[in-house]
Amino acid sequence: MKTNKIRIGIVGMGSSGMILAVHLKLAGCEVAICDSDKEKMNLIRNEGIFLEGMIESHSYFDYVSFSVQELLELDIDILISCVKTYHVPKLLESLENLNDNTYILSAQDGIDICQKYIKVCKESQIMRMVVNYAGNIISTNKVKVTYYNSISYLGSINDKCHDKAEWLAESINRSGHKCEAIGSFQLIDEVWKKSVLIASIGPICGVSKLNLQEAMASDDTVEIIEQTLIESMEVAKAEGVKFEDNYIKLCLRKLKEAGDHLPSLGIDIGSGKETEIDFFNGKIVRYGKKHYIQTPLNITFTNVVNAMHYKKMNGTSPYKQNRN
Amino acid sequence: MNTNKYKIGVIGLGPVGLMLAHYFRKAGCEVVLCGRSKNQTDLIKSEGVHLAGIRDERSQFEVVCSTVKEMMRTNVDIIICSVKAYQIESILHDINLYNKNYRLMIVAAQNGIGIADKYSFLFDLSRIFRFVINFAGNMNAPNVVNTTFIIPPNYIASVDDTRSDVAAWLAEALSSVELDTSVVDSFEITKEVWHKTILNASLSPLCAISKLTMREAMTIPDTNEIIERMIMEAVEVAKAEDIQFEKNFIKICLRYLKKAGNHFPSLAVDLMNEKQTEIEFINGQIVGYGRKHYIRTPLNLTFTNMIRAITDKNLGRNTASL
Repeated sequence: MKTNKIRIGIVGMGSSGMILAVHLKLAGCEVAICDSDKEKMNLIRNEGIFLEGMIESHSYFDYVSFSVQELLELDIDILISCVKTYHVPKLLESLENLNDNTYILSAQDGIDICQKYIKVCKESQIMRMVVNYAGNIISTNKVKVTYYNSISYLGSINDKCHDKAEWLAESINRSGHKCEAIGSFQLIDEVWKKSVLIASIGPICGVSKLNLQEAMASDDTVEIIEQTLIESMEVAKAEGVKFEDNYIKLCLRKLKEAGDHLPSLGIDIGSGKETEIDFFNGKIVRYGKKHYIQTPLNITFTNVVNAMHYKKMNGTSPYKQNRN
Repeated sequence: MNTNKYKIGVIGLGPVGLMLAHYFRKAGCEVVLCGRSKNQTDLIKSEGVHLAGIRDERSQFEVVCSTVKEMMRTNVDIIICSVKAYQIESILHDINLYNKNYRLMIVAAQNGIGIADKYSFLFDLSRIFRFVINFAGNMNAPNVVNTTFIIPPNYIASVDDTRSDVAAWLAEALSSVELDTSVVDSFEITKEVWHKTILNASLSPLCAISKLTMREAMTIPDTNEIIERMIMEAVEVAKAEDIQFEKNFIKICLRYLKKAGNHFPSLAVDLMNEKQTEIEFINGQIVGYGRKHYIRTPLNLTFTNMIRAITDKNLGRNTASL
């Protein structure tokens, strides 16, 4: 395959989308990017995207659009979805007439995300990526990369388009970030592993407003981070997910080394925005019920975060509404 | 009753202290107040105490001290100690320093498990009384308390049952001014302490962390589920401690909490004001007793640790925030 023949479209210019866009550009791919935030996209059109922190890089983009329709008119071969999990349904609305030759890569974190794509696209068109880099947006078109040195994984969800996955992984590798194409079942394991890790810190940081470093510096929060990991792993194991030896200790070490990163789930909770918690802790609670495994910490965080969001959206409790 | 049999001193002029002072005064008792804020004690001296809210009443106090030393000179017979639970040790130390009356009696009016044990380090058990309060209020001004609820009765006991006569005198005084208070024995009071603590534990840290009022937390199904689980966990631990609750206890607790007002519990107010909280005496105790009996208390542990971690950060004790 030749790079210049395949055109990649990336939807969603959050920190993950921007980092990926720069990497694929560095790999020599033809990259078109898309976000509904016009101001942001105009700035990127003029100045490009800057990465700093653990890697320093800068790329300009020739194809910049504000809508998915506009993006798809560019004859996209692989569409990479980097939107927030709760925006996936909206994205899928615009993919209903998707051409059979276009492949979709879902780069969201969270359990069972692909189920949403399957409703609109063919399974053989869908790929999934477990992103193991992270960054925080420091200004509209600048991302501070805070976590970079682990391997990201991607694959076809039913192993039918493995060649496409291999090609993409190779391209990302070429740009300096380690990425491996793996089989669909191993991919599910990686999805769970990442989700279990995020579930253990996202809501704790979001609700307590401690950043990761602060949370890892307090014995009190470390204790519940570990408890949440244990609980979630129990559920994952019941689902047949395999973990390497000493996985909990490895996670805790990884989190200690993660520096001043703020998990995006935590940022959304802290800012009162809609959160992805239902795809992390919420899913763990659901699968726990399926296997009759108690998940008291996960249920606590899921419910507290959802109740806080409910209050933010409705301004008050159901009780008061009934009264008025 | 002889209302002048004992002279009462109230230390700690938060909502509970001021309400108790007011009702003892109203009952005709001699009451000396002691608070550490000069601004507050001056205001009470000149304007008295005002209870607003459900009941609207006022009372005047002649003696309002701003140090323990000053209060100890007034020769009180019974001290009602209504400071925050984490201030007990330092207050008792001061009382002990200036006390010349070996018959001085003290009433523990805090919420929480294991409170009376703190008093027993400095006071003989026969001098200690445990008070379980079933009313509450918020401060509107340093001398104005907004009464948020009164759900009778309150309970009082002599912690080793030797001075139930004094407990009865205190109960009678409060009951005479429509603040119904029952005298119970020392075992019964332990049950009431656990009961009240379980109610506090199930709502206070949840409201503090989610910033939901008590009523909101009770009416949103997501939080309501957690509240019930918190109670279940705590009841398990209480049972291991041989506390015998009545039938349908969990349902009774939930029904009680349904009546909670659309305001924040004091632990939540403390956390929001970035102050120390009483979490160690509420959920922290449930976790501690759970460990003693090898009973898991994951929800209570989560909330205890979250509140601690947030407080540590607020008070500049998290090394990574420096």
